[in-house]
Amino acid sequence: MKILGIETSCDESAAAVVVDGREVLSNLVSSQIELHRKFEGVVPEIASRAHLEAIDSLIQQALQEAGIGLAEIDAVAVSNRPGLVGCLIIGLTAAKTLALVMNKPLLAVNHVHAHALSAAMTLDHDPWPAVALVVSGGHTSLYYVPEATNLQRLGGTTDDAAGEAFDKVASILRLGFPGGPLIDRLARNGNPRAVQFPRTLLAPQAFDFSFSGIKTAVLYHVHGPGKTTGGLEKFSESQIADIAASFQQAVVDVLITKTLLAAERTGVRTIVGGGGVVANSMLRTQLQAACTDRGLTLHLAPMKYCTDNGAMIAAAGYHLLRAGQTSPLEIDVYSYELAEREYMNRESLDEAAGNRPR
Amino acid sequence: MNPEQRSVALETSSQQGSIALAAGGHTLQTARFRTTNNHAQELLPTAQQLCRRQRWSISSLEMAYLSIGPGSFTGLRIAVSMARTLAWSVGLRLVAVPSLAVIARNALSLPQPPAELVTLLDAKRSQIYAAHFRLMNGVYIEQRAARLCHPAELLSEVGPTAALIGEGLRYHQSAIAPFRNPIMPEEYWWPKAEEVVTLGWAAAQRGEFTARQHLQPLYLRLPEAEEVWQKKHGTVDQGAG
Repeated sequence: MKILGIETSCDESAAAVVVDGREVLSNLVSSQIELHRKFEGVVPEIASRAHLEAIDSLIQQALQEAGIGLAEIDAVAVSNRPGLVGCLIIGLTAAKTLALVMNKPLLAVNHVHAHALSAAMTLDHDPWPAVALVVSGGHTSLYYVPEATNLQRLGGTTDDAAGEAFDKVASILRLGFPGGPLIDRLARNGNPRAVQFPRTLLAPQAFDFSFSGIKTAVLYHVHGPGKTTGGLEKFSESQIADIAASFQQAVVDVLITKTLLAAERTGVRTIVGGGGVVANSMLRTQLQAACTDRGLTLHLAPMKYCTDNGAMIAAAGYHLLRAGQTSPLEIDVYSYELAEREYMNRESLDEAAGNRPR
Repeated sequence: MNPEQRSVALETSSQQGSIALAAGGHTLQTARFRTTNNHAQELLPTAQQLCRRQRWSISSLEMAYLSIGPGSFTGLRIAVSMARTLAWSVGLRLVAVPSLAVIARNALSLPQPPAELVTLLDAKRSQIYAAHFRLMNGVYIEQRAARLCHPAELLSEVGPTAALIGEGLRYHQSAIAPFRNPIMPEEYWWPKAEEVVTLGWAAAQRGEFTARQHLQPLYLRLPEAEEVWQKKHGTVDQGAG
């Protein structure tokens, strides 16, 4: 089945055509990074205006590159949550219009779920059951995934997402925007043990994340306790690289600790990962090493599917279509994840662990 | 121009959205959205409903008339996203209509339409979007195009006889009251899709079509972050187009 995937949840307009959730015929992304760079963060109004200018031509190009006409599409998948409401609305309206014109099913996709499933796109088998780690600019979440249409949230961020912390620390270090790739590159020249930033684990068995403490620790380390400006000039280039590497190590340590804990508590032997921060080289290397040590299988999304893209939306939509989970034209957008799956409680965790081979 | 052309008119510039089907300039059906500020949910299902009732397929539409702004940015973008998608998928032509002129047409239904009229919408930050019209040969002719301004600045210019209309009146009462301009009844404040049909059809007959890639809401203001950035960096405001 050929699915058209449309993505406009944040600062990337994207459209793709994917066959049966795996064969990517086209995958086009129009990034807005240049528009937001001077603000050192995504400006929702600017993002909304840019999506409106880009998305229709991008959809046309995606069809053209795929070598198919609109009439050959079997369904339209679109991210409708979570994200910037003004941005999501642009893609959702375009998708609804096409679904109505072609009289084809509309598939409303949870953007974070699509990231969680993105690693499976390039596999020749289904990796479920698995624990999914999603780390991006707007989200840091862990899921227990018994099957592709059943993602059970284990935990999420209580304040800043990991990617947000990268952006803020890059701003403190005056590196620019977006922070993730800049810190990743700089950290390769730094000592990750030079500064001992805190690893906020909340409760020992908790799957929630908190990155605002690490960010504040970097802020005070640079500017001085209780200060929010000045002081960066006293650090040499290599010391700034040490700060970047140490911050990155603290974030990676927390992500790995929680992910392994989730695997242990649910009893699964496979971990999948997606989202922009999963492109981080330190996270990829160290998570792989930790999984190898414990005999776990790790599948991370290929770099091209880490950032927001239409292919992952089409792939997630394919699973919804197979499960008959289509959406009506009345469907809306949401800035948050719908409470369609509540956090797993201790009993359901034990049940999952009991049902899975260790 | 074929007067039977199947057309759809979209009005999403204010809290109260509506949609109409028309044959050229003749409105066949209209529907107001059931709820306010819910255009994303209501626009497409309402269009589908109207088309079914009219026994038209959505792909048989030949023209779309759009209330293009100024107004609610999000509301306008929903209609523009739908219209641009229809333009390339079914090949219909696009006609943009100024939203403040759509509101002005409501005053023609009054027993005595005022000779001079100012339509105004809330633009937040103590500002309004406003346009100034004069009644000539039974239609309102725009004297000055829509702009972003402070209510007192506008009313000082137009004088005390200009009647005021539009939902901006609700939010700027204290700034407007001292000028004592006549205020039109509240039921005439909201733009309606059937008036978009009238203005859209007239514009189409004049050949005033908009290319899909140029169809954008009439914003009249830069994003707030851009305004702040320009202020901070002393850059000259280039306008929002």
